[in-house]
Amino acid sequence: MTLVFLVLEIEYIFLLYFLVLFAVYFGLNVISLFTLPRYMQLHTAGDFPQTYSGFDPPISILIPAYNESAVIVSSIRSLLQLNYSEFELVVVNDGSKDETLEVLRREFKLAPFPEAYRVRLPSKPIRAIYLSTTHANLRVIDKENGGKADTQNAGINAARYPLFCVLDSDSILDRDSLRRTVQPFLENPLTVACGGSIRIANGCNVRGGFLESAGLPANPLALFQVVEYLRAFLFGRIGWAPLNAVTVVSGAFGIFHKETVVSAGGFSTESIGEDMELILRLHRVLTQRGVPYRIAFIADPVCWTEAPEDLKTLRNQRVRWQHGLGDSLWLNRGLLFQRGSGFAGWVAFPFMMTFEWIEPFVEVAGYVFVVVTYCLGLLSLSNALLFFLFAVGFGMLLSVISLLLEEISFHTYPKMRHILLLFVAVIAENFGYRQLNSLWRLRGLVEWTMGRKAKWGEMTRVATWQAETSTEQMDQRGAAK
Amino acid sequence: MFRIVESLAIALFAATLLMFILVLLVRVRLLLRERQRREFLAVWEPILMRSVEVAFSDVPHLRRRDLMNFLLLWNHLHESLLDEAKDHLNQIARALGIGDAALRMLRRRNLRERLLAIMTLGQLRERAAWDSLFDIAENGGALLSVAAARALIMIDAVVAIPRLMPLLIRRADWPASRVATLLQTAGADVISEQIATAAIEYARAHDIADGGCLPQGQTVNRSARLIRFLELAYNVSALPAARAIAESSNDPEVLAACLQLLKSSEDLSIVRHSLTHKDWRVRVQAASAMGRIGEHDDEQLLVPLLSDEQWWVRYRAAQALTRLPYMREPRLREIRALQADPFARDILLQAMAEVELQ
Repeated sequence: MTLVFLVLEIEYIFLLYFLVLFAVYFGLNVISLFTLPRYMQLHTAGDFPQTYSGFDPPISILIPAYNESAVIVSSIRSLLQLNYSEFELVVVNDGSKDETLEVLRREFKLAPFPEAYRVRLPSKPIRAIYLSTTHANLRVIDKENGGKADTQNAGINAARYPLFCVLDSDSILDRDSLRRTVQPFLENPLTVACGGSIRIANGCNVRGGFLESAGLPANPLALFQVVEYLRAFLFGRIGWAPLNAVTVVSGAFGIFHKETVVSAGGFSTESIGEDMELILRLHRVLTQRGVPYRIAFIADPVCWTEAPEDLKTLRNQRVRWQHGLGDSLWLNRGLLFQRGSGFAGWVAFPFMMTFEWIEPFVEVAGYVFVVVTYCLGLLSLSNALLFFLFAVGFGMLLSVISLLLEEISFHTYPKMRHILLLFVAVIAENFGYRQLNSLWRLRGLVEWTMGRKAKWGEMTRVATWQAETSTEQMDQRGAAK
Repeated sequence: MFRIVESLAIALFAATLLMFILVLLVRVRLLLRERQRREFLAVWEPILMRSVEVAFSDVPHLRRRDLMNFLLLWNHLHESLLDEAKDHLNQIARALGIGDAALRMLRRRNLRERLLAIMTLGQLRERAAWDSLFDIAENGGALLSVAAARALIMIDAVVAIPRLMPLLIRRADWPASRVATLLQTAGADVISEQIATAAIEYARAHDIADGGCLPQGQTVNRSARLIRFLELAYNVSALPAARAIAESSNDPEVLAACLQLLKSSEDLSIVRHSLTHKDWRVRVQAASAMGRIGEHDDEQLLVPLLSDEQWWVRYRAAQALTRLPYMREPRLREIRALQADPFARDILLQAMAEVELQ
């Protein structure tokens, strides 16, 4: 009798956990459902031909490159065509072992340049700095290998402009990505960082480094990630933005106020989730200093990135993200209920701890609990299935709301077939994919708790939309989950 | 317990299905709108494109449902065309009664419709909309109010600029780049005197002492921001204003903004004096100004700045040195060799390399 009572108590705890999780997600959805249509109404202004007045803030675009010889030239050529009044490209070669530097020297006629490099943020030693003799706004910093955060810090040191943009060397941008993402800086001088929606490039048609038409991947793993990204960005970020509680600006594309980032110490080389860590640190440090600030997010799909299409790469990515999440939360634990931190410290941070960090543990424990109690005869098959269907229904509803948000805003995927396929993915991801994800994330959580260091895995880049195919070290593609 | 879970599961599945039906409905509506748009474009795009060259006397009837599509296309063409081509577009719009329709749209709640209405009324130079537009410029949200200000300028820049000047100062939520576009739309003829007078008056009335703070509730230095817009005015108005403010202001940000504008040898005394200012933002602008107006003898004033604690000051001073009259590479090498500070040597080497690459 006591055992049955205990089982019932535990069931109530699981139910309560999921109900609270649902309530918060539902709240974020409601915020997004209100803010997104309004944002879209004003979006019209950006569709007209723009004139630049010379008063737009210039931007330094930092491009980390590690063994990117196959794609770096096409990436830079497309970035040079961005529609923005004034920007510079700072490519940071992170001690590549392939011909990245040679390719850059040859293609952009680089000349060694005796730049008085300022060390404002620590980074691995700089070997040389080059200036393009064909493109005055292109510089290449060659440094010893130190990882992405170290590379970005070196780029910030070399950046000349007040705003800098971080991206991955294979990020596919829209021509207007910079112009759109810089808007929050123009409209509110307190803005210190701004990110935009990241989408999956698999299945899309890319020409000249820019997205020509959106499509969906045939690979089911990539298709599930399309749904994940919609969920993560269309309510995960938009919902938090009006509360000034955005907790991550993806490393795949984001714009930052340089002096604020430098004063906060730059990107952390301690954390493998350096993009989330920086945003949490900005919340913590700026609150501590009593500096008013705003971390913005725009709904526009401004960057497209390749999703892993095989289980091994995907597993490594998710394990790494969970490590990054743990690092970020731990390094910034002072933000938890920090006085004056508003929604960021009092809602978003506790939410991330309770519902993102330990969620894989709760979810896996839930599945194990249902199976064990069923095997012990404490739970009937129909009731066990009921719990499972509840969890599935919960996931499906959140995903389909993201589809709705996408449809009322950017309706990126143009064909009716796309909508139907996405709905199939919304259902199918709950049967196997979601559970696998929870297992991987649980592994990341356990490894992090045991103090094991996460590693950057190898990523097989398929890039069927482009001519190049290569296998290189994976860049972090943002912490969408 | 299980009844609760069962009810919740059923509710979740039902809600999912309902949401998906909603998604499909939104998509169907979108497809229908897209079809309407294509039908509209098939008729109206050739007409509006041809109107750029020849005036149309007989325009077809515009269906009510096509109004938004028409305004989008019409405004798009307006934004892309030169002035003379716009008259024919306006003739067509007037023939279709677009002005009245846009005035009605101004009162709608939908922001997109209001924005399009504002743009349209500006392009049509619709004087009947003046008061409504001014009200939006004064009280509307950032995007709508800037659009309304621009529409007012398009209707009558000479009347609009004096009335908008207090708003240009007060509304910090108007991005500097958009304000600059407004002023460019009005033209230097109209804005030069107005903005110079406003800048002097505002700087006098609101001077922030060195080390002082911005008034509560302000996130930008309004005076400095206004001075930067003097760049869009004629020199004959802008330079005396910048000089007058630079001579009287104690606010480093304002002084730095003034120095950015100075470009005549008359201003050398202000610039030279500012090279040793304790605020680095002033020193960097003074060094930059030296690059524009410095004289041969200013070398002695610039060399100490090569060892400034701020990178940007060192960099601008080095650039200014390379740009001084009669400055040649051998002399730059001599200066470099005389520097004990490695930062000074490095920055001068960089500036020399830049000159070489140019």
